[in-house]
Parts: sequence; C-alpha cells; structure tokens
Amino acid sequence: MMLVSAPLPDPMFDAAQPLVRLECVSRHFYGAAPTRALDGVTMTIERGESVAVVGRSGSGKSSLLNVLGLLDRPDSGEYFLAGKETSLLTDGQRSAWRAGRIGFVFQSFHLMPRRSVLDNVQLALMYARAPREERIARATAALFRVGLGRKLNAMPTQLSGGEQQRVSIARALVARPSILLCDEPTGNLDSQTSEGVLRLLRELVDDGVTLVVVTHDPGVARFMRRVISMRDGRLENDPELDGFWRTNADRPC
Amino acid sequence: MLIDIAAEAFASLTQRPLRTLLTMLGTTLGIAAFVATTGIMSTASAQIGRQFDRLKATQVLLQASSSGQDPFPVDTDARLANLHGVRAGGVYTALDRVGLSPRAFIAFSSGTASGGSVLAATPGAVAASLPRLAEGRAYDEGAQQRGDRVALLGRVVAKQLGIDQVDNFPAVLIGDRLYLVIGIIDADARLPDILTSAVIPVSSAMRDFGTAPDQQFQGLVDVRPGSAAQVARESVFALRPDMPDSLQALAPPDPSTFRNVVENDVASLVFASSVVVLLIGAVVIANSGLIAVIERRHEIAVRRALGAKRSQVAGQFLFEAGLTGLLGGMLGLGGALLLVVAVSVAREWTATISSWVVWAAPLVGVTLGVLAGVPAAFRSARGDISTNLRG
Ligand SMILES: Nc1ncnc2c1ncn2[C@@H]1O[C@H](COP(=O)(O)OP(=O)(O)OP(=O)(O)O)[C@@H](O)[C@H]1O
Ligand SMILES: [Mg+2]
Repeated sequence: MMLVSAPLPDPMFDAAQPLVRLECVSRHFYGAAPTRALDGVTMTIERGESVAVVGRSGSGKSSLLNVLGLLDRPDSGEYFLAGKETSLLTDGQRSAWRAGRIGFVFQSFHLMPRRSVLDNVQLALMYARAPREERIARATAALFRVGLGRKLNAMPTQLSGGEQQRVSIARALVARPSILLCDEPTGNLDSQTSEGVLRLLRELVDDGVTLVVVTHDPGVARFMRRVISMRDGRLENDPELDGFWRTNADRPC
Repeated sequence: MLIDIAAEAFASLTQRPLRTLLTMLGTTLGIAAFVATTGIMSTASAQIGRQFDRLKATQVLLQASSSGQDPFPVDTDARLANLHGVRAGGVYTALDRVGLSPRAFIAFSSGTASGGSVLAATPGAVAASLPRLAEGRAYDEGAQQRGDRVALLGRVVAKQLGIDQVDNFPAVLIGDRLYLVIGIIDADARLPDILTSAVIPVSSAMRDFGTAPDQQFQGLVDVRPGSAAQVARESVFALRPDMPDSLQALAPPDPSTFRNVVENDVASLVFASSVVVLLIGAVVIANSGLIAVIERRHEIAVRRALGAKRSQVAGQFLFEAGLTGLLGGMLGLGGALLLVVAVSVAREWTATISSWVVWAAPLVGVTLGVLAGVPAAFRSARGDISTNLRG
C-alpha cells in the first residue's frame, strides 16, 4: 500500500520549510456580483497532515483548493509551496508541479468519458513524462490499490459513481504526489457508494499522505487530523466538529 | 513526449470518427480535385503524345476515292509544293503486282537478292518519307521528268546485293532493265519498307513496266507542324480542281488544338476550384478546431490539472489539425487515383500520374491542416483552468 500512495522524496523540496504556507492570500472575483472568495487567508500545512476544509456553500473552499493546487493564482498575498514563492513560477514549472507533486480529486470526477479506466489513470503519468510501459504498470497498480483491478478496460460511463471516484483517486495518486487535494470527493455519492471512497481516504491518512479535503460530509471530516472552517473567504473555528484546528484569529491582513 | 501527444491527438480523432471525416471533407475534395485533374491531364497528354507524335502530326496521306483509278496529275509534286505549309510531297506505288519479283534483282557485281521489292516514287514522295541516305543522293525532279533509269536502294537490299557504295556506279537489273544506283537509304521514318526495296522514279517505272489495272497510287505529304488539317483540305483542290472528290486526304486530328482545349478551358477551371476547395477545407479545419476548443474546454482543463503545459495542449491541437489534413489529403489522393484509373480503363488509356503529385498531396494536406490548427492551438492554451473545471 505504501508503495503506491507514499509521496516520493523530492530534492526540490526544502524539508525545513512547511509544505504549504499561505500569507494573506486573497482571491476576488469581479463582475456582476463581486465576491471575495478568499479574503486574507493565512495558514500552514505540514507534511503528512490531513486537513478537512468545511464551511457553507460559497465560503471559498473550492477557491482555496484551486489556489493550493496551482489551478488559480491569488490576486494578492503569497503562497509558498515547499518554501518556493509560487507567483514567480512559469507555466512550465506550475504544470510540472501539478503533474508530479499535486493530485486532484473532484466532486464530479472529471474523467475522460471516451477513454478507458486505465487510460484515464496513465494519462496523469504521461504529463509527468513517464515512459509508456512504466505508466501502464503504475496505473494498473494504482487501480488495484483502489480495488478496481478488474475494471482496467472499462469505460468510465460503465462504472458506478463510487467506482468512478475511485478511478479519479487512483489517477490522483499514481504520480505519488506530495499533496492530495480533494474537493467534495463524496459530494456526488450516496452513503453506500461513498463508503469505499471513505475507507480509501482513511487509509491515505494512515499512510501519511498530505491531504486537504473539502467536504460537507461529517463522516469524512471526522477522521481528518485537522479541520479548517471557512466563512466568507476567511478561516474560522467550527465548534460543531471534533478535532484540533488552528485559526488566523490574530489576522495581520 | 511528442509521440505521446501525437498518440493523444490520434485517439481524439478516432474517438469522433464522423466528425473527423466531416472535418477532412474539404481537404479531401480539394486534394482529390487537384490530383484527379493533374492525373487525367497527364494521362490524356501522354495519350495524345502516343497517338499524335510529331511524325504523324506532320504527315498527310492522299489516296484515290475509288479504287482502280489514278487521280494524281503528272505534276503532283509541284502542285503540292506550292501549297502553304508543305515541305515536300509526291506519289508512290508498289510495283510487286507488275510481276517484279525480288528475284528480278541481279547484281552487276556479286551476290543475289531475295525478299526485295520495287517501289516507284516521285522525288517529292521520297523526300516526304524522310529518308536518311548513307551513300549518294536522291534523284531529283529532272530525273523524274526525263525518266532516268536511276534507283535508290534500301540498306537491307543493298547489303544483299553486295553494294556498299555508289562511287563506282553500281547498277541493278529491275525486270530486264538496268538501273543505276545513285543512293543507299540507311533509314526511313515514314516508309520503313523502303529498306527492303529499290526505289525508282514513277515516270521511268510507267514507261518501262506500265501500270496494272488495279495499280494503287498513294500521296505522301510532309507538312509543317500545325498545317496538317489545312493542307489536307487544300491539297485535293490543288491536285484536282476539276474533280476534288476523286481524292481523299487523311490528316491526324490537330493535337495542339486538342491539348489547348484540355489545358486551358477545363484544367485551369478545375485547378482554380480545387485551390478554392482546399482553402475552404482549411477554413473548415480551423473553424472546427476553434469550436472543439470551446467544446472540449473541460477536457483541456482536466489535462492541465493533470500537469499538461500550455504548449502540450496547444501541440495536441496542432497535431489533431495536421493529422486531419494529412488523412484528408491521403483520402483525396486515394479517391483521385481510383478515379484516374477508372477513367483510363474506360477509355483504354494508360494511367499516367507524376510521382510528385503523390508526394505533394499528403504534404499539402498536412501543411494546410497545421496552419489551420494554429488559431485553435493558441486559443486552447489560453483558457482558465479552474473556471473551465467548474463549467
Ligand atoms: N470563477 C468565478 N467567477 C466568479 N465568481 C466565482 C468564481 N469562482 C468562485 N466564485 C465565487 O466565489 C465564491 C466562493 O466560491 P467557491 O466555489 O470557492 O465556494 P465553495 O465554498 O466551494 O462553495 P460550495 O460548497 O458550493 O462548493 C462564491 O460566491 C462564488 O460564486
Ligand atoms: Mg466548492
């Protein structure tokens, strides 16, 4: 199990630095209804931490995840990834991070509908520049890891929602990323089908994968080591949930 | 990596076969029109070349309309020579039927002849047959008018008779008359039979041997290129103004006018339209590429989230467009080749297609495709990942 999900050591990483450090990060959307999706977020995520992000709809959880995953750029503030300020990275460098170091799991899976399960997973390694035989081998191993070893050549549309989400988890894990970002991984699944996904996430927490999971699902939040609550683009405590959490109570920004 | 991106592009195209086919259509039709036109043109002109080579294009044949008559006047050579466009012309006839067997040859010097025949021809006819003389010279109009007993020997007959030069005044017996050999013909473009014959003036032949009741006279005229039709029209009047119908003139169809029709009218039109269709094909590829970028923005965002660089996404769209153009070009080439072969078979022609066309077709297709893919490639690299993942 460790073989598949544990992150690779990375010489680019400054081990002395936290994996993620946000300082006063803001993301505003202008237009018909201007929104402060992120409004001065300061936080740190250490290696091996598992973080649940909770909060009402529109509170900025997905926006936070997008910034963390280099899918979006903050308007202001600084985002250090393994000690490196990300606003200075080129598109090629950001892409390389996404390909090798960051895994995504989305609420709506985002699988390619016309490609086989195996293809969907090995595609993630293609952009990490792995040779084809290695891609196939590692994708197969990752699919066995999530319990889909019998569905390698199935099409995503032939799978249940829970199975599709496990494919996307395999895809997110196959490059052995340093951090796994999940946006409501069980949001589209009923309690029965989400069970396998839950078990998988729990195993990843136990394996020491750095995990940030946006979720409405108390079942998910319960086994995360740390819970972050958001409101109106800011972090706050959520007393309704167990666990220990940090705040940005003394907000400098 | 490039191979992987090419493979992704190929997979994208094969997953939407109908759309790919429709996108290719413009390129396919354009290339097909281009290849088919050049193919049919080169096939046709090769055919024209075969049928109407230079030799035949500059020759007019004359013969009596009804057999058993000799409609040619005594001064046929002069009358023909007066016609515009005529280089030489005259009358000839084979004398086998008057009982001159090949064995009639008896060499003055040594050897015996076998398999030779005798031809009577006016100086104009000899000149019009385009002989190449190895020795001596041909007889002239004076010899014809005087009825000199002079002969030209074909190379084969001359060899059989042991005559290899004319400086020592060799002579041959034709019938029971002695003829002086004044020239040896090495090759003859229009009357290759001459090489196995002795050629004598028509006037001498008539006086010495007379004519058979069914003696066949033929007119042979050498004309300048492009004059054949006009000479054929005018010669019957020039020779027999009293009875033009007694003569028939045979001229080849004028190849230059035929070729001009093919090249100028039809070809330039089809060429122009194939270029237009090709451009339309490129626009179709460009347009469907732009639509695909919008339609596949979600797929693009997923690839980007998985770590695809802008350049890799753009590269895939360029590949897809180039591949579409390439496949379109090859399909058009294949269809056009089939068409050319079908036309050739139907007309019993030999299909002739320049190899550059076969190379150029896919090359043009791929080039147009890649160029047409540039807008889509640019647009594909631009979109916002997080926005497109939501939508
Ligand atoms: N691309 C965008 N353009 C405009 N507004 C946006 C965009 N993305 C997010 N927003 C706005 O920013 C705010 C935060 O959105 P976000 O998606 O981060 O919320 P969320 O906490 O993930 O909500 P949910 O639980 O419903 O997924 C919302 O008001 C949303 O409308
Ligand atoms: Mg969200």
